[in-house]
Amino acid sequence: MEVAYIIETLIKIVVILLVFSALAGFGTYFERKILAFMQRRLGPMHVGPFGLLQIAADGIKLFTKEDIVPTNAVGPIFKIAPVITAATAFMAAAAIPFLPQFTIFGYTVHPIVADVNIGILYILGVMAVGFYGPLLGSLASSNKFALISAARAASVFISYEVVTGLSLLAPLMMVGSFSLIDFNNYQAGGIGDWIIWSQPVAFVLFWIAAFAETGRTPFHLVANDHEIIDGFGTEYSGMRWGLFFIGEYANMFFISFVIVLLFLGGFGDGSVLGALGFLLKMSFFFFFFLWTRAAWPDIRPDQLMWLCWKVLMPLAVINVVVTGFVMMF
Amino acid sequence: MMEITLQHYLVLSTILFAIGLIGVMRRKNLLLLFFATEILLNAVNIAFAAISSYYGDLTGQMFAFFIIAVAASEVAVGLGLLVLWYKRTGKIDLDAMTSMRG
Amino acid sequence: MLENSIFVLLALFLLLGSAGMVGFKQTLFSAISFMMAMLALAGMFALLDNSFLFLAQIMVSVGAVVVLSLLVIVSVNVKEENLPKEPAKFRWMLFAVVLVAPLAIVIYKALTYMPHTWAKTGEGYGSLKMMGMTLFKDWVLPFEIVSVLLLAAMVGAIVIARKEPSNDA
Repeated sequence: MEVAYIIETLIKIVVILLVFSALAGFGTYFERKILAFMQRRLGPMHVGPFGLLQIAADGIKLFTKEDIVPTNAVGPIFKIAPVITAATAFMAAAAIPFLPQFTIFGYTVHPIVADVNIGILYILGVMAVGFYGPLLGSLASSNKFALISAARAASVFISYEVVTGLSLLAPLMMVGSFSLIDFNNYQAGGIGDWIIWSQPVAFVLFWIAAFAETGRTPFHLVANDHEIIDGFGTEYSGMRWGLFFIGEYANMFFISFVIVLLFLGGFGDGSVLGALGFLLKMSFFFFFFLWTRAAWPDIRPDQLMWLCWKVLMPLAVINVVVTGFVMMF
Repeated sequence: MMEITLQHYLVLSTILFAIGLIGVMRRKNLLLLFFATEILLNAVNIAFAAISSYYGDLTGQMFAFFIIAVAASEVAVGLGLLVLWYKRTGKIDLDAMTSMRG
Repeated sequence: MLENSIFVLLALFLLLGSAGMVGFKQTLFSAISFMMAMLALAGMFALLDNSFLFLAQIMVSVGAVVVLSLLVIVSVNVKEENLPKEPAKFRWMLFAVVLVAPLAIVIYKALTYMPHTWAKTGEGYGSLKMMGMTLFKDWVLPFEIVSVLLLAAMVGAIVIARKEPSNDA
């Protein structure tokens, strides 16, 4: 029994690692294609049908590139930083149920690595560790742009963590559990039961904060191409830079899963239709990340801070208080 | 391998406390002083958590929780003071803080 | 058995991290060692079934304290020659170890008088629900006092760190 459990968990871990590393690759492909279509271009076309093999070409390029560590960089920290980003992104995945449980060859599979009873807080905590990747990477690479990026990373992530936590508080009060499976079961009754209808403010706040946590475009200040080159990634090359990238895209996927599970019903009653709907909803949120990148300019750092502390945080607090009052009476 | 018991946690806590104490006594970098203080507080936290788990009594956890909160506020004010001190003197050296000496 | 090896591993990281924190000259290295120690400590809380402390440790110590310290390291940007001179640091540390050692031995002696087995912790021990119930039933007053303390710390930090409007400073 014990051995079977360990083997099952190991298989799940390997599957998640492989699937999401591959998906991260596909994510870059989708991003290029979608951005291209929105700008009336074709995007990658030459390698393979519709440019699909571009991912493989990119992978080969990243793997075979010379791995440069700048002379003045602080070697060990410089080397370990990308690993932190990628590793924490996948660690967060341990508490996410990716599909409803299903039976294969008479063996019931729960597509979640560990249904810890503190699921959401675990994900938030691991994400809090995750931004050490950019932070340490940029501190260690002895580059002025990277240093600006480090300062921005620290301030942005610390600020938006507050918004994420506070916005989640109200739905948590309603469901009364931290497990994402409990969240899903709470909303299993159909569209009418989705938390988004009772907690629209929390939903919007969490969505906005998700952009900041993953560092996507409106809040893409940590690696803002047109002012600080690539921020923390300026001095990185080859697979080290690739690990940052994998971490970022895996994070985008995971946070899309989390948003759907928290606010949009997850996989519902667990039927095949529910599972398909789950993936569809998740894809929409992933697509929205790319859509925003095509449609919106970046905002200034001070605007980002203004938004966090003077708009989002008070709204989140008010939301929590109102939810408390409604639940009490 | 022998069983891990309460003693192991407490010994670990003691060693950690000793390390923190050495840090507080011997380092002159102000930032490290904060870290060493945190290590001291967290050494106590281990002991609290282990004993709490040992007796199945949540009081230890509560204490550890309050200690974490106090440590956080200490660091917030302390780092503010440190930045101010650095702006005024350009040093983060403990030995430079002698302006009150008669 | 697995728990034992996890404990040994975490303890190793914890001690290495804190020793590195005390030993390194560069503040950045110290901060990272400290972060490692804090992560190992969080793991230790998880090993002790204290899920709430595990999260509080990660969120407060790793997520806030070390990041703030790193931010301070970046913003004050202390030059190599402005770091405090600490000649014969390790010699003094050895001296300190000699001073601290008897204390540790005494404490260890005291510990050997304690019972040697784990009591079986009750069902639901360390769960967030039980934690919350205890916190808001028996510990409301300390909780409120701590919140006042945090508020005071926040106001204090802002007052200390803000730009001085007048001409002095």
